Amino acid sequence: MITIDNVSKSLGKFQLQNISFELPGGYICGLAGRNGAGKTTLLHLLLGLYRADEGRLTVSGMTYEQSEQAIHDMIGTVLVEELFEPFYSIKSNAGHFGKYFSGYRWDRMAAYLERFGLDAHRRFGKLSRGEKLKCQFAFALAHDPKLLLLDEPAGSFDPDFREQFFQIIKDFIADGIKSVILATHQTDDLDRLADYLICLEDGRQIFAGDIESFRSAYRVVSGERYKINLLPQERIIHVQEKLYGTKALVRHSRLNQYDASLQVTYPTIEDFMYFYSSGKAAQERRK
Amino acid sequence: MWKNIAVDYYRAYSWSGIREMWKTNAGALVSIIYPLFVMLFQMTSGEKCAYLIVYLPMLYILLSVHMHPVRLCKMMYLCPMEADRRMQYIRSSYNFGVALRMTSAFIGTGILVMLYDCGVIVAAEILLNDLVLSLLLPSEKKTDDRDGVFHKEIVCMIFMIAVPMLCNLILALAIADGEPHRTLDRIIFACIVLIQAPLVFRYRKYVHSELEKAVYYEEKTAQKKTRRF
Repeated sequence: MITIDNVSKSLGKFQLQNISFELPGGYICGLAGRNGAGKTTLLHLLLGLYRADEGRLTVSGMTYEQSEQAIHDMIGTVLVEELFEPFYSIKSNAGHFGKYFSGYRWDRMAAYLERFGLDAHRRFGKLSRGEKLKCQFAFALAHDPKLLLLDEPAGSFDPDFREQFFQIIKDFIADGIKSVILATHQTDDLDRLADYLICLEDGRQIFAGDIESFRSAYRVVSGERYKINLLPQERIIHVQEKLYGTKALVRHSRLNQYDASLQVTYPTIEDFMYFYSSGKAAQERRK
Repeated sequence: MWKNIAVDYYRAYSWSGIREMWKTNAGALVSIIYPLFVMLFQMTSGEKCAYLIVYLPMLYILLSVHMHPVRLCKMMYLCPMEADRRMQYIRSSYNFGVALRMTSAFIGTGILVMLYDCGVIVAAEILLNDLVLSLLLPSEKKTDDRDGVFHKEIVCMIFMIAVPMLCNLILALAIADGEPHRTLDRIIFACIVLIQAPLVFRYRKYVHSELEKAVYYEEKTAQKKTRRF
C-alpha cells in the first residue's frame, strides 16, 4: 500500500534522513518517537503536503507528482491542528470539504457523529479539543478512505471513547485492504494494536518493520551489573543502573543465550525508545 | 467551480477570519483603519457625501484584500484536486475577488457621477485608483527578515495603497468643492501613468509568482517552479 524508499527532507535546521519502509494493506502501523523526532514531517510527506528532497514515496503504486487527486481521495486524515473552519457548523464544514471526495456521503458522516455523540449543527469552534478530534475522525471515515493517517488523536479522547476508537480502527482494517498509520506518544496503545512499527529519533529511522521482528530483535535484560557486562558490548544499546538492579536493552538473535540469573523480557516500544535515546545521549556526552 | 469560489469568498467573511487577519497581518490594521480616520476627519468639513461615496468602496476593497489571502486553508490542500485544477481555482478566486471589488467601485463611482458634476475623466481616474487597490495581495512578510533582505513587494504595496488613496482623497476634495480643475486632472493622470502604472506592472509579476506558490502547501515545492519577484 505504501512504499517509502530512501526518502529525505530538509526543513530549516531539521532533517529527515533516509527513511525506508513498506506497509502492505490490512495492517496498523505505529509511528513512534519523541517530540521533534520527525513524525509529523513524515506524515506530511505521506499526505503530499511536503515533497521529498530525495527518494521515492508511493501510495498504492502512485506518486503525488502523477496522481495527487487519486491519492488524496483515498486518504482520511486526523491532524493535531484543526482543519475545519471554526465559524461554521460541523455539517456545513463537512459538506463544504466533503464534496471534493468521491466517496463522501452525508448519511455516513451523520451516523458517525451520532455514534460519537456530536451535534452536527453545533459550530466547530465551540467544540472542545476532544470533540474537534472526534469530528475530524468522523469526517476522515465518512468518505470511505483506503488509508487513515492519524496524528496523535487518542491523547485528547476520554477513556470510553478511546476503546471505541481502537475498535473502529481494528474494524477498519478487517477487510485486509485498508491500512492505518497512527502517530502517537502513547506507545502502550501501539504495543497492543500495531502490526508494523516505525521508530524515529532526531529525523533518523531507528527501526522500521513488523512488530514481531521488533520483538525478536531486542530484549530487556535485568540483573546484576557484572553479569550484564559479560554480554558482548556491541549488542548492548544502553545500560541503566538503578539502586537495586541494572537494566539493559540489547540486540537479540535466536542463537543468543543469557545467564540464568538474568531476567530477560520483550521490550515495550516505550522501553526501546527510552533506552535508545538514553544510549544516544550517553554516547554524545562521551564525545 | 464558480459556485465553490463564491461560497469560499463569502465564508472568508467571519469574525474568526477578521481575528486571524489581525494576528497574521498587522499591515491590514494600518491600511484599513488609516483611511477610516482620514474619511472621518474629512467628513468634519465640506461636503460629507462625496467622501463617503469615494472612501467606502476603498474601505471595502482593502478589507476584502486582507480577508482573502491567496493561499488556501490546509484542508483544501488535503482535498482531492490536481495541481493544475488547484491553480485554476486559485486564479479564478483571485479574479473573482478583483471583479467583486471593482463592482463596488463601479457602484460608488456611478452614484458619484449621478450626484455630482464630476465628469467622466474624474470618474475614470477614481476607478483606476480603485483598480490598483483591488489588485493587491495581503502580505505576511515583514519589511526585513533575519537575513536583512528588504522585501521589495512590501515597498511596492505601500506605494500602491498610499498613492491611489491620496489621489482619491484629492479628487474627493475637489468634487466636494465643485468640478475639479483641469490641471488637477492632469496631475492625477500623470500620477497614474508615471507612478502607478509601473508599480502595477512590477506588482503583476509578484502576483503571478504568489498565485503559483499557493498551488502547493509548501512554498519550497512551488519555488522550484516559479520566477522570483
